[in-house]
Amino acid sequence: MNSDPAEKFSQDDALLRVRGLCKAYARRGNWAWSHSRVESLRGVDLEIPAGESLALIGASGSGKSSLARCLACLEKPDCGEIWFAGRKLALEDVSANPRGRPKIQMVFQDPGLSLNPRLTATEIVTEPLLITGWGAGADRAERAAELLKLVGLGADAGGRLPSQFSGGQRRRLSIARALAAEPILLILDEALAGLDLATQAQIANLLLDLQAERGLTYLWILHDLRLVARLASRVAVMDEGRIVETAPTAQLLRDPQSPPGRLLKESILTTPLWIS
Amino acid sequence: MKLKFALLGLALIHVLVLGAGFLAPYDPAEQNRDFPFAPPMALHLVDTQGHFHLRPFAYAQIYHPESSAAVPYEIDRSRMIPVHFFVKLAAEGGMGQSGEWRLFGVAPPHRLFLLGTDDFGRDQFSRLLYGGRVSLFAGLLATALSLALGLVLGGLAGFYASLPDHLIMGASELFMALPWIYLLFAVRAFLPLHLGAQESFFLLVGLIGLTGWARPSRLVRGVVLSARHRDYVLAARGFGASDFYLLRRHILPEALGVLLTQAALLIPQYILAEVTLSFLGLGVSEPAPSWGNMLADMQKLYVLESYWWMFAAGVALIPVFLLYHLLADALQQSP
Repeated sequence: MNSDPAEKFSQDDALLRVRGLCKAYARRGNWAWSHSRVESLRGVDLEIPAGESLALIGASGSGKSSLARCLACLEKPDCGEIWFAGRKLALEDVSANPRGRPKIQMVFQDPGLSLNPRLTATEIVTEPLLITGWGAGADRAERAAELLKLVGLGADAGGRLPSQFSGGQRRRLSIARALAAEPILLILDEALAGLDLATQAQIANLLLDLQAERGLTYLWILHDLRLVARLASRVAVMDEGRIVETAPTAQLLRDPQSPPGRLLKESILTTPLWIS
Repeated sequence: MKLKFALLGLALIHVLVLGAGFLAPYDPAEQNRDFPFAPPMALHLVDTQGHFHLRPFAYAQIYHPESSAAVPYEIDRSRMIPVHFFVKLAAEGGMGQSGEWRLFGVAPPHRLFLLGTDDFGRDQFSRLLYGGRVSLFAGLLATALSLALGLVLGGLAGFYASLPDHLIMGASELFMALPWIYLLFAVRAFLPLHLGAQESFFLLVGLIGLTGWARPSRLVRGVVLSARHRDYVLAARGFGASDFYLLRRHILPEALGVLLTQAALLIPQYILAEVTLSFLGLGVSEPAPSWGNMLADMQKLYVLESYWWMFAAGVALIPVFLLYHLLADALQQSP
């Protein structure tokens, strides 16, 4: 479907364009008739040009992860449009489109939960190759070793289980797995959360290097505004299922226009470590 | 430690039973009508004069058919029957071919009955070994069948939820609500009563296995239900994995531990099911031995009163049960 995205869309077009995306979850109550709807996305408009780093910020429950999952084809949006690389994508999830959207990949929030504890690092990284039918067994093993090296995991890492890696190494492993599918757009859902500062910096630098090297487009989901300032060129603020403000990073951090944006900025100023 | 002990014990019992063709001195169907209900013969190393013999021997037993005693046998201490090792079987047996090697035996006019005989004069020791093959492997095969069904049905129910889940779990509740032993009776009663030994064995295994799918399938369903929403399953879906791939690679391996424990609990239960049905004459048919139809003789009061060695199959069940339950216990503690 989007096998060769570079040929079709012109340079000034955004790589990803989302219009009026909405998604509601049905929550079942104690009785058959008592179910409620939780509106997670209420008409999201978003554009990401190719090669850009966009940071999505917002309070918990504002719909950031839902948006990420809808974009990665893990969930089916209820309405709206998604354009990717000049083509309109069908609103669907993997059950309707078993091939998924390999060109839009996601690095999950918690590598403790998103890596199967029974599989070795090589098996984990080989998985996307195996599923997409990439190469023969030996080629896949070679490719997996390359990817592990690319994300900075040692030569002996291949045979180890996720439980035998540190938190930072597990992030690297999930990045390697996402890269195996050769994505164009990488969604990084809290990819730096819960790490110590040194590890955080190492992984952030790794991701920046990968972006420069491979021309990837990043959609960061972040909480820490210090990281936003370093990593993103543009910021979108989400609140209650909508994108309330989009601006270049420096401008947004200096002078946010929307109330949720101002609230987020106030939260920075109380952080003593913040150096502008 | 527990696990090792249980596994070693079970391996030993199964090897003994599998080696029946070598370890048992006689064919299980071979009759000795002139030795009905002969008591077990003890092996000795020291004779009446106090001389030590390197080769073990037994004393001959003399049958008094006209005697009114419950056990009309007399031990003749003047006639020693030496036991020979690695002997060729004599040419009279039905199932055993002549020229087969056996671990031990005695020179043909004599007979050696380590665990006595039944009313046809069949050697109980040989029947115990051959019968164990039937009973233990009926349990194993029926368990494999139940677990395979449970894995498939529970996997489907847990993975697809909604309608398949409702249907399969509804059916499993029905099966669990029915007392399984009566269910087996009812189904068995519909089928022809007189079958060959092999047919009745496989019929029995099929029946026991098919009626027992409910519990393992519920367990598998529970595991699958919790596993299918994990992030790594979602990630694999995002790469375009098929349902089959997800089940095989990520979801069903989680059910493995549960299934192993379940197997250790189901096997003794199914062995008992086979024994019960054969005891009641609905299982493996004579002359093929099984621990169940060996115990069936105990239904007669005079057998129960006088011939204690006919309990052998019941006694043999005890270590099998204890070891399997020990195994289940050990598996539960070390997942």
